[in-house]
Amino acid sequence: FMCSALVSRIIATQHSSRIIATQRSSRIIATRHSNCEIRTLHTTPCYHDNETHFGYQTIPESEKEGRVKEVFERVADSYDVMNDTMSLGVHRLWKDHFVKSAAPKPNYKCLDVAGGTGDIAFKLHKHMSNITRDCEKIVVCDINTEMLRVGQDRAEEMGTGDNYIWMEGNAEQLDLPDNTFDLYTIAYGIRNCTHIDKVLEEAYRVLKPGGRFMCLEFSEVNNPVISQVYDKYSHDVIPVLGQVIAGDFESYQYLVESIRKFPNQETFAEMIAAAGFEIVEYENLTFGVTAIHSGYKL
Amino acid sequence: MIRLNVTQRALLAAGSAVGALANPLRGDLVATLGETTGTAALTHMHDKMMMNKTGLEILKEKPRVTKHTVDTEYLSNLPSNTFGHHYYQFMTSNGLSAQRAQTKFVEDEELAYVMTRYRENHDFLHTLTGLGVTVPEEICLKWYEMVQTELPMCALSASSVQYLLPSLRKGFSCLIKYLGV
Repeated sequence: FMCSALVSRIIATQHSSRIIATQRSSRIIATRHSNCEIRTLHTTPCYHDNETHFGYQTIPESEKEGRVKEVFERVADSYDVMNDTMSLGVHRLWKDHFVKSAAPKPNYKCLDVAGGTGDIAFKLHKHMSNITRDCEKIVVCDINTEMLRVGQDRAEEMGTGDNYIWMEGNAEQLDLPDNTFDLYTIAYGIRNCTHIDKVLEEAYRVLKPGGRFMCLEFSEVNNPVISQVYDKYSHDVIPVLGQVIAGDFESYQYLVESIRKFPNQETFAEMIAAAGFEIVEYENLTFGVTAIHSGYKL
Repeated sequence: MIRLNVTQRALLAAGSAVGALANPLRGDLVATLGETTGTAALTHMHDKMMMNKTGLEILKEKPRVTKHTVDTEYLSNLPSNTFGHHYYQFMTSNGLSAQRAQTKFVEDEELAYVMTRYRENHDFLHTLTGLGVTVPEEICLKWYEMVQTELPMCALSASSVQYLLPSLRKGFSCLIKYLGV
């Protein structure tokens, strides 16, 4: 309706001014990676060999997967309600724009990783089935069975359960064959993975030549005024909402902190290029609160 | 134990108040409200405990009343003129077990213990006053606790008049009987 059309126009104008869209500049990213240092969002803290970040905490690397699993087990049931509340519904617009950019054709084999409750998978299916009824099934993979269960229930409710294959799996080690998929999507999942480079390598492996990697993730807000408001909102309001709505302050505190620890737009683009992808681009949405990264396996 | 800044504390207090009123079954929000608004009352209680011999002992030992510390078998064998016997009767006839929400948002360890002790005392008060677990009776017990502890959260519960009116008489008569003894 009118309101969302207006807002998506706002998102779209952001898009045209920020995209690194030309072949030339994106090849620069793809070839220059060996000369660049990987910059991180904050000054790189000193992690010992087998330590990593869990929000603002430092924990042994081996523990991170389990702790992330715990967080999502706890939040699974209230995940969708919380997303709507925290982002005031805007996450739906981001995801719509993401799927429109992905523009999957009905014969595309799509893999949605960390796809748990099904938001992206459902939108991908809608896009494809608008063109023709007969479209490929979408594989939805998540490390967490609770999140998958919520997704399956939602699909059943909508009567579209048959269009998806729900798979429990680890993004760093997918139990899927090489060169299979036309489109690999990961929305708001990659920042929770322990080894982002491994996730990118696996994505490269399972994509067909010509296949596309697309990532929707929280990123860095550069605008100093907006970022102050955004920081205050993230740290003060979101965990409180988590406690009041989901009864879980700490999980939402983790979610806010994990956003700050994730590499910024440029750094992440470099990591994607380092995994072998080409024509690596990114697009900021809502001042950089969220960014869409895209790369091709050529 | 979670540290809150001023904004978080204020928002959490307001949010949990609204949430608890909207959905009375959210006991965790009532607990959260108590913790975010109770500092003055907890300090006052702590001071009073420090000035009393038994209070001092409790603060030193920090006894807990949980599933692990309550010996139900021992209680079940006590004679009928003991407090323990009546406490056991109350808990089993209402299908309750001694387990209360953990105190998460009170920063000072001593005050956090006072809050925990207040929660774990609740069933003892049920036993002493003879008040049951129906909603009007629980509200009457909250009135009692409100006067004793001066916690704002008790005042909020106590003012839930919409639940009180139907069985007003029964609840209050229990309380009055106890006070009259």
